[in-house]
Amino acid sequence: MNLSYFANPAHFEKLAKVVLPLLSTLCIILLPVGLVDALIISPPDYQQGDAVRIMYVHVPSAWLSMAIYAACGIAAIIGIVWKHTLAELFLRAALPVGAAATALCLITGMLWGKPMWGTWWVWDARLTSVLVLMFIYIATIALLDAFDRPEQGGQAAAWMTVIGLVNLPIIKYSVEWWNTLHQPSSLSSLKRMMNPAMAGDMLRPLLVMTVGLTCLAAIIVILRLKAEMLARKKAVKGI
Amino acid sequence: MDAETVLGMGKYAVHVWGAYGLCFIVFAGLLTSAVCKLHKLGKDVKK
Repeated sequence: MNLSYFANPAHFEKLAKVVLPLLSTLCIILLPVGLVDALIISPPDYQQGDAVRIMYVHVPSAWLSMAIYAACGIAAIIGIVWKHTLAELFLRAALPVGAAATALCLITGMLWGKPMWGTWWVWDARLTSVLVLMFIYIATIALLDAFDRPEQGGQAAAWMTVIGLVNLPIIKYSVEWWNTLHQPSSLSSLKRMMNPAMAGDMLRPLLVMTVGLTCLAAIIVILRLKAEMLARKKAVKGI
Repeated sequence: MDAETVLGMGKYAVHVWGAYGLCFIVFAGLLTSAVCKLHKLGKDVKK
């Protein structure tokens, strides 16, 4: 069984029936536990005080903004090479969720930046490259419905997504390539994960919230993808 | 843990609760809209 097996709408439906309850269970367990840990149990930072708690939603939304874009990039390549309809529908389902995660990342970052840096925004490499990602999301979503035939819009959006992939390593390495006000990554690699630059009491809610919100985003994308498939079926039937 | 730490977040209350409140609104909105859209289209296609 290869990846193309799941690109068949019937197989995808079968997979979704198994995966959705699993993701929902994980979400129902992890999000309340993560929120209690993030807001109550985890200690305030000795310098930042309670403002550090913004990290437990800022970092997961930053991770989601990039992970969803990477997933869209893979779908776009599949769509361009094999002209698979499900790839286009995946872009329609996932891009708005990724754009929302990017907006959350930027806004929670600003809410954290004001008390810590003394400013809502700086034209720093990390912040600017994430803002560019937001613009790429908006442009790609706009392209999806810019043509009379949805397939043409899907192809144009797929090319735009592939071109935009170049921004992902720029975001990731921006804190290393340039002098930035934004701090370097604390969990950038497996080696760093084993020896994180963060106390365990803070790492625990961060990981729980990241996994919980990733499950929630995956549920939303799967539900939206199922809806897109039904919408396409409805259009074909001419209802 | 006293109530002030839980609800107050010291002088950063607006920033912390603003960030969490915004996340809740965005994710709840996305989930609700996906469920409603799926429900409506499901009914339309079954007709």
